[in-house]
Amino acid sequence: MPIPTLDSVFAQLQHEGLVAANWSEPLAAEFCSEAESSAWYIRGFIALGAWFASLFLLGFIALLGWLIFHDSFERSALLLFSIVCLVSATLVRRQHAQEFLVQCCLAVCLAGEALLAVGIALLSDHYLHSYGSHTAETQILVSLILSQALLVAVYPDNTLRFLACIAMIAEAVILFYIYDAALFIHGLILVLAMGFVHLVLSEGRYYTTPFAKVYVPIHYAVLIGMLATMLLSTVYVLPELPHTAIFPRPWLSTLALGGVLLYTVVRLTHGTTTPVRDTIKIVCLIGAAAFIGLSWKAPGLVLSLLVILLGFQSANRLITGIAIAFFSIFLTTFFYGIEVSLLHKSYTLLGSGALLLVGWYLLRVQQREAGHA
Amino acid sequence: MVWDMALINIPASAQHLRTVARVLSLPAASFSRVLQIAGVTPRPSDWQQFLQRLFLFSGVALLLVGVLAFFAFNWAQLPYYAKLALPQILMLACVMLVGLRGLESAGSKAALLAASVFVGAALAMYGQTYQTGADPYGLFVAWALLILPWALIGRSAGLWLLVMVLLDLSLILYWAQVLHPPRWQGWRSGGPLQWILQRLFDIGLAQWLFILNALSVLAWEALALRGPDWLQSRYLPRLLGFVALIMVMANVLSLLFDGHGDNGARFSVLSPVLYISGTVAGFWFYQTRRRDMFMLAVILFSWIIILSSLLVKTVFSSIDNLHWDIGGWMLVLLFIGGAIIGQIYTMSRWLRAIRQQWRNSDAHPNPG
Repeated sequence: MPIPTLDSVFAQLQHEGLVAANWSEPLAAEFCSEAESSAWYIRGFIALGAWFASLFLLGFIALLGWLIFHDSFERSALLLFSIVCLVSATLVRRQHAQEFLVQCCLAVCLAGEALLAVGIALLSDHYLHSYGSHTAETQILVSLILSQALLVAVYPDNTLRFLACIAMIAEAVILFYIYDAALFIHGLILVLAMGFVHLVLSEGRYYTTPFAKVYVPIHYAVLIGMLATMLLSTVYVLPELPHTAIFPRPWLSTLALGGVLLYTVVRLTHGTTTPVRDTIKIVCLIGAAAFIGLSWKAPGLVLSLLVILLGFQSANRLITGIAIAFFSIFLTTFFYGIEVSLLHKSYTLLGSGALLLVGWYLLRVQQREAGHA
Repeated sequence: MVWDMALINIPASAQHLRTVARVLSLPAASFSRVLQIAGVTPRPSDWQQFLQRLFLFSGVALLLVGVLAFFAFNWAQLPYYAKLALPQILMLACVMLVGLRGLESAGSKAALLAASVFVGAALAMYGQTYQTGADPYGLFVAWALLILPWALIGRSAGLWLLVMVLLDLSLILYWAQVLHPPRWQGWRSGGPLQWILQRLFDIGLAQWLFILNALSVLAWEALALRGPDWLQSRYLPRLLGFVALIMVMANVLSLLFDGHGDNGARFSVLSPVLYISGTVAGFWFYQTRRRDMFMLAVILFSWIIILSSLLVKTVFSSIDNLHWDIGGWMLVLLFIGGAIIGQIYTMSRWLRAIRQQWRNSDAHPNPG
């Protein structure tokens, strides 16, 4: 079926009274700039060059900062310098959108974040070392999380917003490990999964809100953060080592994600404009539950299926592609992980694979019956 | 307005609809309706087709990996003839599939590629079972020669990529194990990958790899100009061109900063000559004969790396000692940073001018 044009789609929408007659006027600047922008690889090379140049310029600015600050605020010099970097990068970026400057500001901002961590570490070490062994790390991570949350709100660049959200998720995971609370990772995965489902299924609600500007980077950051955190389940640490497991009790994530998957299946089968038969809804739910049961020790399989379904529903090939790539990576790391025996893995994989092929066969039979009818 | 005619007829893909929704701040109801009108929101029939494909491919993938895990669990107990037969049976199954379906479909090409991979697995099993003490490069040479007829009839860029990978590996292993084996065997302690990467710093080997890959690109582009459809794929010549460029560029940088190489040091002056002639010829070809903005960007970026490295080397060589005051260091850093910025700016302007030139020539083709 040929894809309709924007003109025909919005003409229909205008006819139904859902859009104004001058709908095309605001789009001129957006699509003109899109047509004139460079190819992704040229932008990539410009970004690389900008980052290299920024390293030298940062060195120049760092020495300048040292000249200005080191006599007055010796221990705070690095912290002050990092704040100067973050503020100046944000201000410049809000005024300019030229590709090279965008990448330079991004490099300066990320360098500022790194210097913020080092600056706080130096201060913590000097003034607060008696308060406890985890105080410095906690202060660094919490400061980074707060500064990154602020950057997401004020820095007008999707790349930085995306990286900041990913970093916040990573810092939360590190905090869990610092305080030997690895079980909270399951809670984090559940929250991220629920957030992702909500962001995809309720996408239309955000375009009229101020959140529209940050929707895309947060949406993808939640996805990537969730998948990356799930990959921790394939890391195996020998039980003889004096550390708690990296991903204890993986069935907790399977259970949590199973609930989210069942909810998503219910939403997808109930939310279509064409009615779906009750028997199909029940079959979908039973099939999903059986898949969850068979993937008890491999929660990544449940997560892959969830993301693939949502990617297809939102007609977003990037999300579907990421989910398929994650499925392959998870399968490979699961295969090479040594916590579960090869025999147990083969049973899990054969069982899940057989169930999916049964599902495929039932769908084919149902399609033929519908065709004959 | 001209842009109305040009831009509004762009397809109503999901990505474009999202851009429009964001710019126009469409309410949720309007956004849902626009997705339905454009046919973006999947209907039950779309779901059925999608789930069929998803269940089939992922089910088969899980079954295959499950079978692999089962065999891996029982590998030690398998008799040697079973180990030898397994990759050959898989190869035969793939070839039979190709024979039944013909060479044109994507599935057949994937099956032929899989069969080519299983040839290597069969040779590896043979070498593992009958320990002859032969050098490993022989396996890769034999593998490449055995699959060459399939590559010739397969008309698949993927197959030719596999052949080139095998030829490159054969050259590396032959050079490193037969022609110029390392004097100290401890270099192997980091594993085969680390050892191979170490050998790539050898100037002579890098020059031969450049020549092999550059000639492959030349042959591909010369045949592609004649017009066969399957040769119009760009990823293979781009990948091989990139590898060739990396090889010779690493050589030039090594000479710049190190001043000498390992084996082939007598011919080290060839590396800058190969680099300059290769990149100039490549730039001319991809600008005038075979328009490829990606290759032009890669070549320009490599020039920036070499020129910047030359600048850094010159600046630091002209300094008598490194015990400077902060002011001196600040000037050096500012100068080098500014030089890189200038080169990047020039590169982006140059590429934009070339793109505009192409557009102009497409709009007003030369009747001659």
